[in-house]
Amino acid sequence: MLDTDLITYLAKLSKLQIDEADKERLVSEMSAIVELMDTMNDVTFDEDDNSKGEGVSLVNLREDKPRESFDREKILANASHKKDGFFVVPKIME
Amino acid sequence: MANYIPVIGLEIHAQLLTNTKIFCNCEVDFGGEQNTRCCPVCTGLPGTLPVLNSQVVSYAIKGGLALNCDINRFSKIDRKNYFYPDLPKAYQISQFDLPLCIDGKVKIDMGEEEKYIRVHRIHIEEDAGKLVHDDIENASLADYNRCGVPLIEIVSEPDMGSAEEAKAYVEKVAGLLQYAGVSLCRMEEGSLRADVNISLKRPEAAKLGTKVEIKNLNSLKSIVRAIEYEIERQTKMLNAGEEIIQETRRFNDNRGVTTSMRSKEDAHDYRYFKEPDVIPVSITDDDIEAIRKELPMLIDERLDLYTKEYGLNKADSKILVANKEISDLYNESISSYANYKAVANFIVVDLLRYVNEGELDSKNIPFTAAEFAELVKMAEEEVVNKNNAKAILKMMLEGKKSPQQIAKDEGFLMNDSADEIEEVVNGVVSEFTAEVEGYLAGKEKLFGFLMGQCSKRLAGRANPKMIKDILEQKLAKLK
Amino acid sequence: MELCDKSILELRQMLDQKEISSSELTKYYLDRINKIDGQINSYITVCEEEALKTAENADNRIAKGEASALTGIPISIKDNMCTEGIRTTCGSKMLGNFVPPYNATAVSKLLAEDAVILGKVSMDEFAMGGSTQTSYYKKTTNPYDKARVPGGSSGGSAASVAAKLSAASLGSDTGGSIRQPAAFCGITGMKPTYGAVSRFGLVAFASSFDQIGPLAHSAKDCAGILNVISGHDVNDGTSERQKIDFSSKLGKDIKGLKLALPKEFFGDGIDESVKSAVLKAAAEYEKMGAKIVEVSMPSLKYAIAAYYLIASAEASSNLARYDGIKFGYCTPDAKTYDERITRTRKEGFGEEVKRRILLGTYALSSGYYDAYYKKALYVQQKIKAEYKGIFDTCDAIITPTAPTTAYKIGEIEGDPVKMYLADICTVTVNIAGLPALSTTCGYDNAGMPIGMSVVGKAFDDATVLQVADAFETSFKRINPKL
Ligand SMILES: [Mg+2]
Ligand SMILES: [Zn+2]
Repeated sequence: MLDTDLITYLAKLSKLQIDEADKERLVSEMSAIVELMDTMNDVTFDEDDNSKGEGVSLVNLREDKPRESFDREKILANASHKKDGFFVVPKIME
Repeated sequence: MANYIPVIGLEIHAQLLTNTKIFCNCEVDFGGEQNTRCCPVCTGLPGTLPVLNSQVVSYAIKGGLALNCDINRFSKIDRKNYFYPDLPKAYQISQFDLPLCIDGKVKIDMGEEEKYIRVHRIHIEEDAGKLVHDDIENASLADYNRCGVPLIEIVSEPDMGSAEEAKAYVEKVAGLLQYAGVSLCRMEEGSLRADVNISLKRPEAAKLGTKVEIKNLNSLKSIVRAIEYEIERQTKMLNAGEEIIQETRRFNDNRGVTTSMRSKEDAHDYRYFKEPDVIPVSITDDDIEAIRKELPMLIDERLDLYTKEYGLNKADSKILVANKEISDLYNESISSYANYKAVANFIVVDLLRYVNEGELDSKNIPFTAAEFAELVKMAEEEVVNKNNAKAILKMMLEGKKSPQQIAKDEGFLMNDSADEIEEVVNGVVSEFTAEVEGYLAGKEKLFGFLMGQCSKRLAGRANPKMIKDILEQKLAKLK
Repeated sequence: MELCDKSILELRQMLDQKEISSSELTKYYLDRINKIDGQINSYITVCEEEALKTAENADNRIAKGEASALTGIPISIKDNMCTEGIRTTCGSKMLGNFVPPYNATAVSKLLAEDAVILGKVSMDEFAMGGSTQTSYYKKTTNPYDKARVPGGSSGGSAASVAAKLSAASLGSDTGGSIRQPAAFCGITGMKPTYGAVSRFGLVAFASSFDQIGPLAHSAKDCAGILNVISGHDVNDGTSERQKIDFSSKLGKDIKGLKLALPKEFFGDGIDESVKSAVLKAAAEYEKMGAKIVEVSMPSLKYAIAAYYLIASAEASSNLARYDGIKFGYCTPDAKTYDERITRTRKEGFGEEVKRRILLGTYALSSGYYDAYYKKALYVQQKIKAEYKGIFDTCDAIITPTAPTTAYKIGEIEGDPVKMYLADICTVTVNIAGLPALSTTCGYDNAGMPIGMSVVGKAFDDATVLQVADAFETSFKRINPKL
C-alpha cells in the first residue's frame, strides 16, 4: 500500500526533496496512478525467459578508434560551479 | 578460544587495454589534466548516448577464456542507479543478470598443494570519475577523465581461506589477464582494484557467517593486511559474543585498520534494469573460437611444459612464467637452441637480474631470442667463457650487435690454437723458474699458480682444459 | 493561396525557380512568428540571426544549382533536440540555461542541407504530457481554438505548423507525442519505425520508445523530411542500419491493400464524433479498392499500464543526471551535496515530471520490480505478438489517434490518471516500435480537427505514408483562423 513512508523512501532513492506538507497529496495522486497500473494484476506469466534474443553482433559494435576529446572549457561551460578545471560540489563526507 | 575458518571472496576490477573508453571515442590514458579526456557522452550531457566499444567485448571474452569461463551467447547490458558526484549520469552502465562470462576457475599454487578458486562471473562496466577533496573551500572537485574507462569485474566464489590464498588468486588472475593481453593489471595506476568479502564460520557450521565487504583495495599488500586485520577483528568480536553486522568497510592504509562506511540498513537499492540505449550483444561460436585462437599458451600450460617436458625445476619454471615476455623469450630461444636448462639458467641467473633491478624493461628487450640463444650456446660450448658471456649480455643490453660479433670485437673468443697456448705456457715456465722447480720437486699446489698465470695471459680466451693439458705436458717434459 | 499554405514540395519548386529566395521566405516566416505567435505561444526561442544566416547559405547553394530537398525550407524544432550554441530547454526550468556544445544528429542532417531552423518550439516538460501545459516556458494553445490545448508533448511543433509559423517541424514521440498534437492541430505527423532516426542529441525521456519525426502539412512532406533525417548513426547504437525509402510508395494505388480496424480501438472510451469520422475514412479507403478487415487486440487493456511503467522507469533513470553539477539549474546556497541535489531537483522539475520519476523509481525498486516493471515488459512482448499476428495478413492498421478532439485548457490536465488514459490509442505503437502517422480525417461540431492513425509493420514506413497520402489527396482540410 502506498503511504507517506513509501513516498519518503522513493523520494530518497530519486533524490527529490519533498516537503512534509506535500506528502499526503502525493500519496493520493500516486495511489490513483498505481491503481491504474494495477490493471496488469490479472496478467499471468506463461513463459518468461530473457536469456535469449537477437542481439547486435561484434562486427556491428563501435570500432575502438580514438577521436579527440572536447575542450575542457566546453565540457565545463554549462556547470554552475567550477574551479581549476574541476566540477565543484559541496564536500562529500565519506 | 573458538576456532573460525575465514571464507573469502574477491571482486577484482581490471581496466581493459583499449584505445578508447567503453561508450565514447575519448582516449583512455593514465594521468592527464583533469577533465581533458572528456566529451558530452562520458560526462553525461543530455541527449548523448553510449555506443559500445567492440574491443571491450572481445577483450572481456578473451579474459574470460583465460580464466576458463563459459561465454554467454546472449549478453545484456544494464543500468545500476545511484547518485554520487563521480558518476555523471547517476547510473553506472554495467551488467546484471546476463554477464559476458560465467563459471570459470583459476588454479592457485600454495606451495605443496594446488587449489582451484571458482570464478562466478565476469562482466563489463564503466569506471567512475575521481573526486579530490578541497578542505579550504570545503568542496569536492570532480574530474571525469576516468568516467567510461572500460573495466571487467571478476567476481570469485567465496573459495579462499586466507590472505595468502587471496593474494595468490589476485596474482594469478593478474598474470592470466596480462598473458591474454587484455589488461596491464597495474595496481599502482589503478588498473587493478579489488573488493574483498569476508566472513568467519565455525569449522562444523554449514551456514556462512555474516559477511563484511572491504572496498577498493589497490595493492596486494593492502589486500593481505585488510584481510588479516578483518579476520582478527571478527574473531575477537565472535569470541566476545558480539554479532557481526553486514556492512561495507574501508581499509585505512596508514593505520592498517578497516573502518565502517555504511551498514546494510541504508544499503543501496540499485534498481538495475536493461540499459535501453545499448542493444544486447550476440556472441557466436565463431567469435569465441576466433578470440580463443588469439590467446597465447597460458601460465599453467607453460608450467607443465617446462617441468614435465623440459625437465626444469618448479622454482625456475615459476620464475620464467611470472613474466610473459620473459617466458616468451625462453620459448623462442629454445626453439633455436634446445638446451632447456642452460637457457633457463641463463635467464634466471643473469638476464632477470637486470629486469629485477629495473635496468631492463621486459617489454623492450633490445635483442632477439635467436641472438640470446646464440649467446647461451656460445657459453655452453665454451666458445666464450662464462664471465665473458655475462659481459656480452651486458653489451647486448646496451644495444650492441650480435654476440658473435661482440665476442670477436672484444677478443673474447676462446683460442683453440695450441700454438698460442704453448707460447704462453713456455713464457710462464721460463719466467717463474722458482715455482716450476718447486712443482717439480713435489709441491703440487704450485700447478694451480702456474695455471693461473697462463689463464691470465690468455685473458679468458682459451679453454682451461686445453691450457691444463698443454701445461702438464710441458712440465712432464721438464721432469 | 498564400505563401504559408504551400507544401514543402511547392516551396522547393519556387526556390529552385528563383520565384522567391530563402532569405525572403525566412523573413516572411519570422515576420509571421512576430505577428501571430503571441496568440498561440509556440516558440520558446526564435533563432532570427542564425535562420537568416542559413537562408543566405541556402540561397548561395540554390544559385549554384546544388540544392537538395530541404535547402532553404524554414522549419521549427522541438526544444528537446540539442542545437549547438542555442539554448535547449526541454520545456523545463531545469534546462533553462543549457546551451549544448553539439547538435542532435537530426538537426545536423537538416543543417547539412541548409534547411532553415526558425527556432525552438514548446513542449511539455521533458516531453511528459499531452497538452503542452506542463511547459515551464510557453503554454502553447490550439490554433483552431485558443481556449483549447494543442496536444502534446510536441504541441509547439504542431501548433507552429498548423498556424503556419513554420513549413514543418521536428517533434519527438514517446507515447503519441507527435501524432496526438498533429491530430489536435489538424496536420500530419509521423513517428517512424523505432531506430529509423538517430536519437543522438534528443534529450531522453524513455529511451526505448523515443523517436524523432516530422509534423507537416502532408504525408508527402513528412516523407521528404524523413528521407533527410533518417539513417544509421555511429553516435546511436540503437539506430538501424537498414535504410528506408520513405517516399517509395507515394502515389501508388492502394487497391487490394488490406487495412485492419482493431475493434478495441472503437470501444466505449472513444468519442462518437471521432469514431464516425475514422469509420467514414475507412469507407473512403474501401471505395479506393482497399479491403477493410476487423481484427482484435486483446492486450490493449494493459497497454497504458505497461507503457507508463516502462516509460517512467526509464525516465526515472534518464532524469537522474539533473543534479545541478554538470549543467542546468542549480539551487543556490546548498551546504551539502545531498542538499544541493535534492533541492535542485525539487525546484528544477515540475509536478508531472516528479510524479513520473516517483512512479518509475517505484516500478524498479526492490520488492516491486516483478509486479510492475517486469510484468510491463511481458505485456510489451504480448502486444508485439498481437501486432505481428495482424500484420501476417494485413498491410496497415487504421485507428483513431486520440479518443477525443482537443480539449479545453484546464479540463483534464490536473488529473494525471485521465491524462494517461487519453494516450490509449497511441502508446501501443511505441511499445511495439512500429511506424505510425496521424492525418486529419474530419472535424467535430466545434470545428476541431479529428485525427486518424495509420500504423504499419516495422520498416514498412513507406506503406504507412502511401496509405495516408491516398486519403489526403481527396480530403480537404480547413485552415484555422488566426
Ligand atoms: Mg561493479
Ligand atoms: Zn568521452
